[in-house]
Amino acid sequence: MKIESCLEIQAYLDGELDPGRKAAIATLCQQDPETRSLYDALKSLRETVRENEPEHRLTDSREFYWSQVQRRIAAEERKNAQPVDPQFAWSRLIRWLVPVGGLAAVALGFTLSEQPIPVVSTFASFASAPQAVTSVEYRSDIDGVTVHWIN
Amino acid sequence: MPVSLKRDYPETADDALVGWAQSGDTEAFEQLVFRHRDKIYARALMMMRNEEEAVDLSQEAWVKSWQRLHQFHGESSFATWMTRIVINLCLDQIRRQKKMRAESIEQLEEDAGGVERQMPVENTNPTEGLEQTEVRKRIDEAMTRLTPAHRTVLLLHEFEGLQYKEIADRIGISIGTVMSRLFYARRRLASLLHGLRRERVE
Repeated sequence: MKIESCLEIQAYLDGELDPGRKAAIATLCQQDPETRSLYDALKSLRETVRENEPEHRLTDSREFYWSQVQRRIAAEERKNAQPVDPQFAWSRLIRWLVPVGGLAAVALGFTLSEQPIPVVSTFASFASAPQAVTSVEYRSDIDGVTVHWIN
Repeated sequence: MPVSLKRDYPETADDALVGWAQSGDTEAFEQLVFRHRDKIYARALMMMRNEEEAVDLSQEAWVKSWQRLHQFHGESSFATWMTRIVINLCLDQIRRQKKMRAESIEQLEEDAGGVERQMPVENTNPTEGLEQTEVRKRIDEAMTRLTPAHRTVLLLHEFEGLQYKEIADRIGISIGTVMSRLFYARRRLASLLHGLRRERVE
């Protein structure tokens, strides 16, 4: 028997089958021995299990078990009620403020001294002329600047 | 919270106890714990198959219920509401354990399905003639031998009375998977019960 048929028989037993298929499966159960056999086996097992749910009891005494539950509730309430440690919050703020403040101080310093902020070009290249005439050439592609210093 | 000497907690129905507990009466809540603790523990034990874990999860369920008591408005019975809390905790725990533990080949084959079709259909009742305590013991033993995936679907359908779609939504699987796991679990359980009967006879 195909698994799809088996699952349909099970769904029919559990009252979960589409109304359109109910009549067909009901007829099959009456006429086909294999279908009937599977239906009966599933039904028997289902009834046996439902009527005999295993029972388990706690061995802890009422007082002990309740004391454990109370302890856990109290712990949760303490955890939820805990205020933010002001020292911890302040140290986190300091950690963020220091680098930002430092950069701000440097920028302020340059502004007040009216000096141009030096820009370092990563593509700057340096070349030197032959020994008879000493010269130094500085070229920056990014800045579009070439400087020749001749001695 | 001052205890009311006039309240007869043991004789009070769940609805009233819940109302008092929602107002902060811890004695009313304690009565609810006492009344339902075995069932909640039993549900956790059937899912986890480990006593220590079941005790832990059942206590966690009571803590959660205390925290969420204001959300309970009587749409279902208190017992049903509580079992849903503990089942969800168990499902979370099973998912965590599944991530940590490699699946055995047998489990993978069971989850893949198809094996159930090869099982012979057992039509004789394997528990016929047995006392109920023995029947319950055998069913419990047989359920231990199912994988967590199959045991959970069987438990939710047979003991919690959930429909296929409710189970699918609760576990996060398709309805088709619910159906095939339930079918496998039932066939496997029947086979195990017959096997247990043969073992006892021998």
